[in-house]
Amino acid sequence: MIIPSDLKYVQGVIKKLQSVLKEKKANEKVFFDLKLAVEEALVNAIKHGNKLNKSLQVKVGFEVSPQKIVISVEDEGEGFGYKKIPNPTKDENLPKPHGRGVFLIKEVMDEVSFNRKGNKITMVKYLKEA
Amino acid sequence: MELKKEIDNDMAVCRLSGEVNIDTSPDLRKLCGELIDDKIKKLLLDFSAVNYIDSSGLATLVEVFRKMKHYEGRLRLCNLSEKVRSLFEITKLTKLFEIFDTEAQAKEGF
Repeated sequence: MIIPSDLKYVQGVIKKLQSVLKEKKANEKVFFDLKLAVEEALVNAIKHGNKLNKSLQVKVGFEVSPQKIVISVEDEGEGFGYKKIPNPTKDENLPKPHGRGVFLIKEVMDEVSFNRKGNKITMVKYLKEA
Repeated sequence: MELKKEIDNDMAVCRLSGEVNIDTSPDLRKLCGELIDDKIKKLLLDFSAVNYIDSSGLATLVEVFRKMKHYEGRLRLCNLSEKVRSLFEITKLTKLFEIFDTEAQAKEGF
């Protein structure tokens, strides 16, 4: 699935995710977690990766098996410094408004990885709770 | 997201509903901004009809908290669903915000 770098396309991806999860009979908690992770990843890709440049695209991949769902989000930006993300739960970072997106993705998904360039995130959720 | 505002003396109660996300956070920021412009002393946000929040929603709440702190205003949250509350817990924002199970508890001593 390919979408332009415009936040108005995010909900279309979530609808696609919803239909995939409905087929898998995933429970509400799994849907909440996946929706959160996918929205956070898409917003990062559109705003920070492609810098809202509508001529750039975001590629979204869904791989579904009985055991797990693997979702990838790739932008055309220069890459994200994923190794240097400040921990937003440290006391000195709590009053900072931003910087919780990737942290939340890591918390709600079972596995999260980035490509070397930092412009593609791959997220895995096991469907054992479904 | 729907927003309803009730003002009683120095306290405003805002009832949020639906999703607090990147699309709806600007509405929440605007509503709270108007109250902050009026230097509201106490702001209670009722989350009973909120079923989802993302990092932009959390960011908006942190902004509101910080702006109110400048003039010694206070922000409280109540009636968070288990799932929504879990995001405040994993981000440790429970240390920043005053969160109550019910509206009555939130109003007590406010």
